Amino acid sequence: MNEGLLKILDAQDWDGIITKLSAYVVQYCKWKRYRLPKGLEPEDIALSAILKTWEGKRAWDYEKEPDLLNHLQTVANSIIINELRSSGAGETSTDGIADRYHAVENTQDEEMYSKQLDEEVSAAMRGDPTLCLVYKALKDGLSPKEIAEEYAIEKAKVQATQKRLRRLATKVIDQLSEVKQS
Amino acid sequence: MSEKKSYKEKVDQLLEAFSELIKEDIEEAREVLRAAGKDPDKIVEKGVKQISVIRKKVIRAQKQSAGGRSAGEDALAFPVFLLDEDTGEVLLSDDSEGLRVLTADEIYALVTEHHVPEGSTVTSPDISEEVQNISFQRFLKEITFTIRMSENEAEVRTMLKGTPIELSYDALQLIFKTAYYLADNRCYPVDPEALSFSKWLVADISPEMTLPLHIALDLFSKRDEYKLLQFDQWSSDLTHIFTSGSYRINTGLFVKDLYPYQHDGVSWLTYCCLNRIGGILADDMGLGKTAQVIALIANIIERSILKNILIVVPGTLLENWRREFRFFAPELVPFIHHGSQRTGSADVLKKQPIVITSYSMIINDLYLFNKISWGLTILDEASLIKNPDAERRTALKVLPSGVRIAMTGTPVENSLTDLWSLADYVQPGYLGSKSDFTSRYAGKNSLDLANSGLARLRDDVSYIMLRRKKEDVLDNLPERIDIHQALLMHSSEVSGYESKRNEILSAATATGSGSHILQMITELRMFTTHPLLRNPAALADAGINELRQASFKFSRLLELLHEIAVKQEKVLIFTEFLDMIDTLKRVLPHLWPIEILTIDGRVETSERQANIDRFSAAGGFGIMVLNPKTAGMGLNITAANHVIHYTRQWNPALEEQASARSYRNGQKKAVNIYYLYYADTIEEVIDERLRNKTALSGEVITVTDTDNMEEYLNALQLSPLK
Repeated sequence: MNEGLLKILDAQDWDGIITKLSAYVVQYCKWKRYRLPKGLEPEDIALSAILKTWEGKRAWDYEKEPDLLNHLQTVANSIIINELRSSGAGETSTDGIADRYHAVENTQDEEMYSKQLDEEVSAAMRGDPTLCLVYKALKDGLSPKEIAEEYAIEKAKVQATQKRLRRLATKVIDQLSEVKQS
Repeated sequence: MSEKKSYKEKVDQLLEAFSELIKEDIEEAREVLRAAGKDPDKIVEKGVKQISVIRKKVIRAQKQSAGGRSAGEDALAFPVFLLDEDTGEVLLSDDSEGLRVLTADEIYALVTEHHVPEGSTVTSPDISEEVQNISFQRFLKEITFTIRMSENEAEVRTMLKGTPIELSYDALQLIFKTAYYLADNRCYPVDPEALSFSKWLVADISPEMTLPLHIALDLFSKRDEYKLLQFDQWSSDLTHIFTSGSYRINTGLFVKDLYPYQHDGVSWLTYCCLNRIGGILADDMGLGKTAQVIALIANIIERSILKNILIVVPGTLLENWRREFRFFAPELVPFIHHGSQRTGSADVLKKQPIVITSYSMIINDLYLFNKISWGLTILDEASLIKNPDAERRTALKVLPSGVRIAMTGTPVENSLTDLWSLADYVQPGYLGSKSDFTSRYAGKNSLDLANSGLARLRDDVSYIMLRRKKEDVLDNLPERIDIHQALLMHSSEVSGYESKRNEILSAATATGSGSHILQMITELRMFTTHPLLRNPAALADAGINELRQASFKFSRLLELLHEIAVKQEKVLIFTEFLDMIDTLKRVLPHLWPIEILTIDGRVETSERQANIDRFSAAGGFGIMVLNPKTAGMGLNITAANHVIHYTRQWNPALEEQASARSYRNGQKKAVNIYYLYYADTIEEVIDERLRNKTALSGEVITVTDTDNMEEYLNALQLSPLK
């Protein structure tokens, strides 16, 4: 590691990065329905991504990608996939992690799950037009800023709605997961 | 916005939006974690700790890849096994920054059985590849020390035994922690016993790997006890000793100048002390053995070579030694152990750097002297222990002493056994047992001796004896050697002297009569010549022992005559009192079977030269007793090369003229002139007058001031009781 990179890493807000990256992995695994190997927690994945970057095992080209969190999210995604792959090797249980991995790779199954999730979320927010509006816009790929401009809603209100929407979606995902497990 | 998006793409879009939300809002991120049943603070705490550990590793790796570290950074002396308590990694580095240094036992247990060290929180140690590549040597290594003593200190070299590895001070300190040394991918475990010895020894070694000289010498003296300790070989070649500079005098305590041969003598004596070898300083009388020994003592005290120095002298010379110290090394004040008021405490003696005592005290207080480990014992007039069975020699032999030095002008008086006795004292066993020595040398004629290896004996002895004759060093020597010897009175003499002194002072106060006072002072000088002179009847009957017991000065005279007799030389004794002249003439032949010739007013002028001729013609030892007032001028007695001023003259010129009987044109030998005087008496004032006037006017003194009553009375202020 060169001294320039070391200085940049030293200057980072590591409390914030650890918190945000860990939250990202929690959310990512939940939405993707990834069950991590036993003993491995989302924050372990986050820290592993951070340490690999420090060690240079997952080099951070800060000129190409100035946003460290973006880089770390990519690394974390990669680690998750690798963990699932390596822990799945030799697994035979149909309810095991390997099964889950292969299942999520199955486009048809994924599409069905996504449709179900969409329907459940839509049903849950019925009667709240703002929620519905923001939900649709986010699904279409608009950013909160674009939503605010497109629909003449205050940005803060968009963001607050987005938070409500995230909590509601998470609740739905949990319910779907419980149904599946039961 | 595309209608063609799949549900999966839409959900992914949603996930991405929520990810952005977390990125922008830390509270939202914390909320996500809390909602998942996690404690954000604990996650942060754990993460920061791990980053700190990895950061250290990264920096360490950076340093190593940079090829070491820059000056000033504290690298370890050699790479050690380290345990990272945070990561469980067992690694090898010469930088222990924040990591646990593993001992030999710990790394062995880790590598062979994966046992983590006691107190470690690591559950599954991760042994790095470089550690796995280390070859652990089976046999325990020892650490050896080689000490080379030089002028002021000793250098120490330390090796890992059986390897070419030299250990630095820092390496030693690290080995004390690790109990191994690591080099070239090999780990050498160190023997615990060797480690313990090394710790003990290194406690006194400086980071520059030097040792205080006195500690090195202590070790040298016990070198047989330490198998891991070696000393560089020492040369016993005298030329080396005298020229190397390693043993030269290096002290400000000794304030006088020495002649070159005396410098050599001090170098040799220092060599003896440094090497813990006993020695015999056997220079001829008058060559300044005392000065050399005091220079030696100043040298070894200043350089802390030896501690607790004991000087054993004849009782007659105690005061003289004290004064010689004051003259040559005023800062060194010896502790005199003598007399009825002497201490009975070994602790008191032990605290004294220099103790002077007499042979008789050694016998009396042997229990006391035996309690002290003397660094250096010096015997003056060591011929007093020539008898191997004498009590004083037996007592001195058992006295614990690091180095023994014997001073004598006459190492062989009667037989070679005298030499054996001295050599066996200073260096026990050096000349073999007494019976072997006797059968080889004693009682044989010169031819037999030559055949029995006398030359070899001479060679052997030359290693422990330094003997210079006057003729050997004449180039360095003044032809005349003045030897002032201060003596202490017997207690009985003191009371007699004090009585007379007070009588004179009272008379001076009462009458002020000059002639009367002068008569009384003459009586006082008579007393200092010999107390029995005041009692002619007792004097006439007194034998040698009675005369000796009544007068310290007489005892010292006999000691000097003894030395001169051994050298087979001739001596002139000056005293103005006829009874003393007669007494000497009467008693001395009992000790030496020779005719004692005299010159005083009772000897006809025509007979005086005849006496001188007989004295000069006689071979060997000879004594002539003279009145300085009668024989002080005109006579040529160059056959004598010793002069003893036994009764001191108020007028220094008289003594100078008397000395000139021997020290004059035609004298082929250096002349020893002895000035005997009692300390703290009128004789001391006389002696000082002589020294001062000699200094002022060279050697020609013509001043006469016998009329100066005030000077007399001032001289009487001195008291041996004060």
